Amino acid sequence: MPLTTETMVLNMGPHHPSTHGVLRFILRTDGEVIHLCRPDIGYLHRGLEKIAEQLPYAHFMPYTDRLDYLAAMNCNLGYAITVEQAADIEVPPRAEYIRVLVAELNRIISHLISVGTFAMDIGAVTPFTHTIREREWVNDLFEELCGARLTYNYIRFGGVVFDLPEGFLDRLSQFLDYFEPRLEQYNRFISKNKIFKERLVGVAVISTQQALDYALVGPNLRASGIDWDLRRDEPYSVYGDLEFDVPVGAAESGVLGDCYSRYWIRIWEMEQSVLILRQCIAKMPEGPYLNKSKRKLKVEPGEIYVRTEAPRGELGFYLISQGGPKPHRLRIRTGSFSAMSIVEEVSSGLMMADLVALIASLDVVAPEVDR
Amino acid sequence: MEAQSILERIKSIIGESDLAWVDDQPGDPYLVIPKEKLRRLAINMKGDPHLAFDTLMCLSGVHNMGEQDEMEVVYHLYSLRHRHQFILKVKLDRPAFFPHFYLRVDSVSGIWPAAAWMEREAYDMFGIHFMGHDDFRRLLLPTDWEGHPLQKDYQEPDAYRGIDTTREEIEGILAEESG
Amino acid sequence: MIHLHNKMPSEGFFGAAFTTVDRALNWFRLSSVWYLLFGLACCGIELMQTGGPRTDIDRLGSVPRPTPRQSDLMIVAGTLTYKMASRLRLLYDQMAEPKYVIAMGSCANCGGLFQLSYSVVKGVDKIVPVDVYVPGCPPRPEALTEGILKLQEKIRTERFLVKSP
Repeated sequence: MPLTTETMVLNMGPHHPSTHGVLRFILRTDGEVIHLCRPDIGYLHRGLEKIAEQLPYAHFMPYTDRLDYLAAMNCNLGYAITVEQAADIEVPPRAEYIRVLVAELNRIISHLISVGTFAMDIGAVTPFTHTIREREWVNDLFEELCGARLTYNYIRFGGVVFDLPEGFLDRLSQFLDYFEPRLEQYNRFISKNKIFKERLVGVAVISTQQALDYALVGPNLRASGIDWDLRRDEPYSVYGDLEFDVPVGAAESGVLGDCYSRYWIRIWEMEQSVLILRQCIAKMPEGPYLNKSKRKLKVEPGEIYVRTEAPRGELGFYLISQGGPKPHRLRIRTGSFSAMSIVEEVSSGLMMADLVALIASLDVVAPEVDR
Repeated sequence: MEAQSILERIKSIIGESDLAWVDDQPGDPYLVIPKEKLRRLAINMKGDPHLAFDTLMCLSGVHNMGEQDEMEVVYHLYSLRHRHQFILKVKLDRPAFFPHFYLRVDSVSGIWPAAAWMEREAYDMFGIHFMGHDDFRRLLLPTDWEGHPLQKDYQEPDAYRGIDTTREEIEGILAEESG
Repeated sequence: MIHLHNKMPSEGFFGAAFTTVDRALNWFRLSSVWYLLFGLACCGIELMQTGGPRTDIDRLGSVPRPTPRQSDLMIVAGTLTYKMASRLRLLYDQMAEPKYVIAMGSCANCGGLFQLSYSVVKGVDKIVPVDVYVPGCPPRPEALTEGILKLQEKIRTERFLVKSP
């Protein structure tokens, strides 16, 4: 006699041990298998777009730090480039190189946290302590540079706020010499680990067409086979002068667009960021670090959409100005928002533990989703 | 394709009437279309092999309270195949009485599934209804929230479910900022 | 033991005995303050780093627990929105007495730089009673450690058996 079962509705509530922030999922499951998973977001909605309309342009810079706190330099950079294009402000070459340097360093530590929390969500707790240890070293470097460990507020319109301290580039080279063999260590003990691969290969496949339809960006898009990186294809700042490869998923584990390829892309991106950093150190020009010629910021009436490549994908700022000291509308388009919107589509048929692996592999942070 | 040739192709699809091409101000140029033509144009922009706009980069709502009270929905489209972008705008009047009857526009979530959540957010923040959307409800704010915060004349409630919203320390600073 | 709460004399021979028992109970409690992982936003990352290898609060006896039923302390790290506020109260009510709350960071103390926002609760103390406020945006791990040490000082001076003055 066949056994009949009923589906049950479970709540994976906004407070849960997975460390990606306050995200809630309402699941309809039949035992372990998920039939429907509906994300419920907004638990960290802080109204950044409304705040931007109430403050002058320069006062909004600290808020962009909190937009994606793991990649604060990249968010600062995106906003600064948007307003500089709107107000026609030039940036001196040394400032451009410093900005690319801190953005890539921030990309490394953002991917470190992503890899560490990914392993922790799968069940391996020790790699997290290793990645946090590497991150502490970089936190020290950033603290030397601008005084803060997490939310830097370092980039200004026309440059950066402090110059590189004495000996900073040497200490950065020492860190890179220490870090490169560490990546090989992570590969040996996480990436090529049999249990890790069994948990992730073939799980939660996002096809190329789905990735395009749902406007996925960043490493998630590249893991599904689409070769698109704003740093190479629409270069901004000095990325046009730097040589680096863009890792694209090629089904190394047998399946294109599964959790394992999304994880691998991030390891490779860290390797490429190390290369970019070495080039920046070698090519760092002398000169001013801030364009102090424009005393008063004047943005003409008009609108502009500028996108940059943050660690979680394309970060777009759509700025509408009506000529005043404050923006008329600032719309922020983030990569994690699209990544959350695809969870409902991809998660039917997954087991509950695979759902945790999916969310961790998409590298979602709650403030980017909710703003 | 350049913006002008994309514009010519669009005109050949939906005709020339009621279109307004704005490119005289600094920044990106855009095309304003009437809301009745949106759905047909969106299907063609995705399907036409010369246009091939396969990605909706961003969908935003805007509220302008200048001489006229109007709202806009702005579509930033991008084609990965041809590497070109285009910006469409739909303008909606917001009269004083029963504004929700007029703030309606067709949903494009059947054409670009990425629009599903972006349209829910535009409704949540501005109150614009998107017709034909599968799962239309608030996205970011609690379901019992009153009002649409990003409207220019939004008034904050005094309390939400018993938690008061006063900010004792910075009332003076807020007055200085706006004064 | 509960019916003996705050009933014992504090003077004389028995007073000395019960005061010593109180001091011992407090010492046991403050040496193992287990905290609920309630990282909401950026301060959550600094909370994770505080539990990390460099500033290790495990040496003070504090280990993270994912469930409120097993924790003594709730460190509210990050911005609280109105949508999340009811869950905060629910989790606080699920913790067993004696329980403590540390408000970590500006957003938890008073709303922080999001006081301009329409959807942020201007201070966690509108929802739960707070014992220690740790300022900073985000506070350094050393600052959070000092917050936990101050909480330990507070626990050390509590009276359980002996009558409160």
